[in-house]
Amino acid sequence: MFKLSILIPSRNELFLKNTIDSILNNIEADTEIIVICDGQWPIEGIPDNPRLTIIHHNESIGQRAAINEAARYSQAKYVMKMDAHCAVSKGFDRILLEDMQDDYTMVPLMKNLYGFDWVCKQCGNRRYQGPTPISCPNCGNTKEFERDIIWKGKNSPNSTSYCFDSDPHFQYFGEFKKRKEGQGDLTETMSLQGSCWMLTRDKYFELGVCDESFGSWGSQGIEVALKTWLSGGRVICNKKTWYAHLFRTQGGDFSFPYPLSNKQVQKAKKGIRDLFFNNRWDRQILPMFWLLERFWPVPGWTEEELEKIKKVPLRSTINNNSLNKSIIFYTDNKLKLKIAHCVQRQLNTIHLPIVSASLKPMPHFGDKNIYVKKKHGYLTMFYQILVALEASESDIIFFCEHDVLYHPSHFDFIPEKKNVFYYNQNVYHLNSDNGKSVFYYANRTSQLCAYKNLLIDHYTNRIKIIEKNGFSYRMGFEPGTHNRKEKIDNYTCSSWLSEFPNIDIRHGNNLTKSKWSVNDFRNKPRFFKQCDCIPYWGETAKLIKTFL
Amino acid sequence: MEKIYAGTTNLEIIIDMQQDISNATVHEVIVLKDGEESVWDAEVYESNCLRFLYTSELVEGTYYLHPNLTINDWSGLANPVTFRVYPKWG
Repeated sequence: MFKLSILIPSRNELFLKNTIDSILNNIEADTEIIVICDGQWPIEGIPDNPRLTIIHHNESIGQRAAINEAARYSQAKYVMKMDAHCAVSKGFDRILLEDMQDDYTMVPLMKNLYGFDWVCKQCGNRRYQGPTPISCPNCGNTKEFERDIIWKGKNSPNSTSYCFDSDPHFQYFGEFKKRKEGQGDLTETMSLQGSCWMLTRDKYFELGVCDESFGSWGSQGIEVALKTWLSGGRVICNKKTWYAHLFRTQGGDFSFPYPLSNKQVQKAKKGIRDLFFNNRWDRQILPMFWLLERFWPVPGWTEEELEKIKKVPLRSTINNNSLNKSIIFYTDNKLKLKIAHCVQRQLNTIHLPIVSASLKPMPHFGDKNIYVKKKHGYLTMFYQILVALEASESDIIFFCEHDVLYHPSHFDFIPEKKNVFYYNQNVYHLNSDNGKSVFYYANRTSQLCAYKNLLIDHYTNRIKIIEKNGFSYRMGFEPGTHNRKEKIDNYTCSSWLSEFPNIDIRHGNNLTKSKWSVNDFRNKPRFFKQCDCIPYWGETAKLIKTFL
Repeated sequence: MEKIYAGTTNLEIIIDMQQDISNATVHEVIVLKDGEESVWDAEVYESNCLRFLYTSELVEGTYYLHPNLTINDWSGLANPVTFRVYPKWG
């Protein structure tokens, strides 16, 4: 099985053979080539080579569809889309694979391809590539010209950084090269040129990087880049190797092989705008403004446009109720109703989907309620968490408990890594009887946020272990927070502070022991503060009267 | 604010507290980074701000800064602020 498949969509391509020859001559890894001849047999003879597969269609299916078909044919770990008019450097595949990571979309440095000269058959006058000459400027010949193939990368320009403007229209991002993050062999790039890019085949299908609803082709580099970045991946330019692309922009018989009307171009752009600028892509875990800020200032974008796009909420179009962030809420339904209702009212102001798992039916709270017919206990609680996680349709999950007041800023957080548990530590404990309040930094399950798959993995294992060996306090309640031998898995944790704090209400029946002084801790905290006023929420004495 | 890169040293950080803190007797910043907690001593600067110079090398990731103040008979934590340290490629 090959490690890398190079996918080449080809329609009316004069230079397919030259492209294939260049690749075959420079391969150094376990690489194959899959060509889709889209509506036409290759114009020139293609070499017979065990690394080469050609799939032919009598009628054109479109460039995106052709790439998708080639990707389906591939069984390699990595796929690389390449235009049928490119040259590559020696060992380009090996060099790229050496630096490849599963969450990368990688592009080599791009050169302009010096494809051919026109030669006048009568006088030998040479002319740089372009449409078929009308006449020879030297001898006046109007009929006899031939292409002399050169097929090499030009020394300059060397393109490594790209972006798109607010249209969105492709732009070179030369300014980025001068920045610190533009230095080095591997650098991030906001967008792609589109003629050559590489990612894992799994990612190709997971992200659906060639969405045929955008049209046959157009805006493809932007689509691939946005789907990579906004799903949590990175687009990387590898400057250790290069490819060269033949730019055919002079019209006539030296232009794009795929027919593309202005209407189609605008359709593709509108599709990109609607989907990504409105944060509506279903795999999107990062908002559009995040990408702009990462590369800010970005040519073709104004501060006003950035501010406007910051106000767009992150949500999916697949299902209006399905956001990429959601809440799981679990309760034993034994809490004082006054506190319970207060917490539920507050959660309803967050406008995120809520999946609740309760020991009594709660049909009026949340978007989905799972009634768990089990007796109150630790194992039941873990089971409630797991069923709520499995019923949630979002990538990012916030745990919410029945006795915590969550500030909306808590839900602004985006976990950076998919294999780390994150805890908000901006939490005050509030005694609901006397208004006493304390603050200390700690990891609490009620403040947990992580990716759904990680959480499902953890709680599935946790339940299996408890069912087999019984519950032990030494396994802890908070995922990823300790390294004792009883730990559930090897995942780690990190923490964040939301802009405004949450309030953990202590009501005498909490799962964990309340700590009102430093002496209540077995391991003394470095920082402990008693207070009678909580930022945003106000004086605690008034707070318990108003809320509780 | 300009982008800050991993490896930066001697970073001057000024937090505007938006009120007069010149009488503060405790003026420090608790820093959370990758789940670890540390305390940076800060000085009162131009009556409304906390200022400190971070001399060690900054590492990639998000720094959460939580100002802790005691002013007259009030003591408490202000709202946290964050800054991001970007990776240095190459």
